[in-house]
Amino acid sequence: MISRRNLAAAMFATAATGARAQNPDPLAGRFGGPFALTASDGRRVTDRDFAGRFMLVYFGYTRCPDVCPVDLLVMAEALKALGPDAARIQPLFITVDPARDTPASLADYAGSFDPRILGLSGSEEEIAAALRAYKVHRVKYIPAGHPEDYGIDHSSLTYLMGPDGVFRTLIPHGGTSERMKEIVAGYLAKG
Amino acid sequence: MRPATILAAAFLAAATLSPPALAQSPAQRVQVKGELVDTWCSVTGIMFAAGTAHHQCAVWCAVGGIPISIKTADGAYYMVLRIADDDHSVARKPFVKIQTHEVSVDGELIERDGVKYLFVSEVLDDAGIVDLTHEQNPISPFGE
Repeated sequence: MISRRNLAAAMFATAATGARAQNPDPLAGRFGGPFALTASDGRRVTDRDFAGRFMLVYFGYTRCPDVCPVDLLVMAEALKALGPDAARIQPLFITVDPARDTPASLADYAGSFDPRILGLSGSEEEIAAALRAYKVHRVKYIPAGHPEDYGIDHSSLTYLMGPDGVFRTLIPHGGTSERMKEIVAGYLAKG
Repeated sequence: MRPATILAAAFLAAATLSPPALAQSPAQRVQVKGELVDTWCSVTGIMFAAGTAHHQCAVWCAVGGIPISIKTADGAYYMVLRIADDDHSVARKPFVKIQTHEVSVDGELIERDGVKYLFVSEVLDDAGIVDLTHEQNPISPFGE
């Protein structure tokens, strides 16, 4: 017998697929898709676990020297500004550096911006699949003589996915938390 | 109402209600001419962010994941999300190599939340770097 959880997940997947097929939004379907990763608390999660909630998805890594701290701060401030409405959103920080970002370090890092931001990691294959789905750019650069201190160039877009799992909008790096709050609130108001 | 009925109703609603994207602008075919810029430096206005004096910085920013845009003469930004059939990532390697060049492109324009996104079909012309800012400004960010 199918469980209620599996039934909901199946309905979510079917609705998302149907929305993509019928949706005239020219950006829908270009970004996002299924993922299966490990949360910073050790749980295995998939995109279907967040069905019914919006997702704010960001890709980065805990050793990022510049872009990630800025964008996560913007996200954290936007969540605060949204007030109770933020409960309708699951903010996600998906690592581009699964070799070094452990669940514990992701929890510490993402949580230092806002405890609601859930860090996600996984195997290299699982992360690569998520990067492909969201069309995330990732290139490792290795300083001469210090291979362990490598950095990772990566995309700096924040993705807003709807409660049906379908892409809603991009929020590029460089904006303010007020602007992010305004954009997200607009989509929350539409349901 | 039984849980299964609630779920079925929710499913029906999700499958039939129009998502908010229905209110979004449709894609338009456009031709755009302007300078390839790294969006962050250019929008924030730091380091004058244009032309020859900013070329190296623009390349670094683009490689580092900052979105590439085409800035037109009227100051509008068109953020490039794809070139031709390269759908692997939002990083645009062909444009990284020609940052700060003046290009003309044909593509699909999609506006969303005040941002103009461009899916480039073809580069019609590459005039090279035409804004010789190094004649008035030091090379950014670290000088010559």
